[in-house]
Amino acid sequence: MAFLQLNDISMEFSGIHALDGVKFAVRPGTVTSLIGPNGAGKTTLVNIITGVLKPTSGTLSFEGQPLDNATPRRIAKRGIRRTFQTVRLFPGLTVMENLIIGQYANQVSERPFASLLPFGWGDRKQRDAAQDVLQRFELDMHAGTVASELAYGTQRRVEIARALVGEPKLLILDEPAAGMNDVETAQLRRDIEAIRASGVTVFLIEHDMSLVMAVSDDIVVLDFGKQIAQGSPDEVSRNPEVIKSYLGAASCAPM
Amino acid sequence: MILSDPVQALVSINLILTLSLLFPFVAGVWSLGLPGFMAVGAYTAAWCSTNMGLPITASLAIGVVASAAISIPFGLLALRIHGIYLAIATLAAAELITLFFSHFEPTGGVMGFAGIPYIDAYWAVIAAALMFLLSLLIYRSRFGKALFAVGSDPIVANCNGLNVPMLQMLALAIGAGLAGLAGGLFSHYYSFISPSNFQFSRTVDILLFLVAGGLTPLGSLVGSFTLTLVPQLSSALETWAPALYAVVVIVLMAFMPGGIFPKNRVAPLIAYIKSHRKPRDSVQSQRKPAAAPQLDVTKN
Repeated sequence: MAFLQLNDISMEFSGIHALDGVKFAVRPGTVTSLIGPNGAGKTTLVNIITGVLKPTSGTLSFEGQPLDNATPRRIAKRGIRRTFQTVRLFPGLTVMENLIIGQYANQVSERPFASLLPFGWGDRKQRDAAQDVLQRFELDMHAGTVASELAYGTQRRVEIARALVGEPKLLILDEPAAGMNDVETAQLRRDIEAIRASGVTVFLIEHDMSLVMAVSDDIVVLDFGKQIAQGSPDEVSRNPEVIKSYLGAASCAPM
Repeated sequence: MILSDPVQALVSINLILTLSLLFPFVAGVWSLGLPGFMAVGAYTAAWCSTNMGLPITASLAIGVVASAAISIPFGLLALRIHGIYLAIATLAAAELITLFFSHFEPTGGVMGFAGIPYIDAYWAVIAAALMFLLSLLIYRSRFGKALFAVGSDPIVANCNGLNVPMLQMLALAIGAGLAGLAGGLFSHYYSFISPSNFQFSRTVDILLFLVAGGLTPLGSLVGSFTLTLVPQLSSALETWAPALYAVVVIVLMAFMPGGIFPKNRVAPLIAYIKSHRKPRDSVQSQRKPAAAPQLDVTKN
């Protein structure tokens, strides 16, 4: 049984094929990366997996159960959480409050009335879980800071933390290294490895090839909506079609 | 008390009405159906206490439930249209409700509904105080943060598993219930209501209180208080009193575009008072400033 399985996903925007018969599986406990040039349809695919968009044709399943026609809310509750290509924190809320939103859905289904209490009242478990994640991401000193006042790289980490407090089985990171400097990217790499080690499957959409090659177990390559390759980092970096359309001869050399 | 009874009642009712706009707005539901909800609460409570002989507290409660119930069709409207279009549609829907009461003979039609049992102004003051505390609690609760999240980015809220339509309907129902309570208090304090009490102009006033005060419970309190009192206290200026009101509003908007309290600044206020209470302890206060920006934002 595949963990996340995509079968012939196609997406058409007014005649343009954004995705054309994409078909791959994400194995549980791995880091699977999706790479491809700009406009290859990567974010469209993320939006389809998380239910924000409905594919024109094709089916998806998660843990053997179909994901088709599920709303983003249902998909989140089944254990798929994501970050966004451009950071989308709730800018007016503090870091801790952003994490509360990440936990809210799970909490409401377990203890509906606890959500009417101020944070930290009546539900110690949730608070401890949030503080634990904050510590793991070295964000505890920012807990009370309004999200919009944080540095960009920190906002990125808060977004990952918000997705993680929802206790997902599959975490989708949409270009998490975009706009980050080398130090922050190195930190991100350690974070992804730690997330994988904690048993959460990661689906990574990324441009930074050194990061992708370092952390991925599997790589899927998209080009103009078509899936041109899939395999281990080694296989993909030696694939002539990938080199031609994406990596380019020069960038392939150091690998 | 410094304020006379009628002013106390007016300030209290206006505060509850301002809070009734706050929650839908925080959740991104730009509903202006306030006069409609208020009318439903006012007429229902008045009918229960006058014609059915129920105690006033029970009548008020029934009025609250009735206006919360009438918010459901408004909520269904809000699921289909958004933003300024929803504002216009709810405005029209509220006019429909007022129109209904203009033609509904059992409650007096355009002639109005008279002989409603009278309550003292302090009832309104107590109710307003309770509603303010309740609003603070809701606003600071996880549920309140969820409403805020839904209002600020519904797609991200949805991807975090939040039930966006349900939360928006609830916000609207809370707002409608508060407006219904204000209506019930209004009808019992003045002992007389007519459809002309529930006009669009009331929404404009209340909207002004909320925008000037800021989109928080504290902002609602300050906004409704100051802007209700300015015309009352400036009555000595006679014909120029409205001009003072206008100047106050313009100055507020020019210098505080987010309102007086765009965030709930209770915590930083307390921290500020604490840090200035012991001026001798200067070493400690010099060490502290790093913590100040964090305190500033914990209770936004």
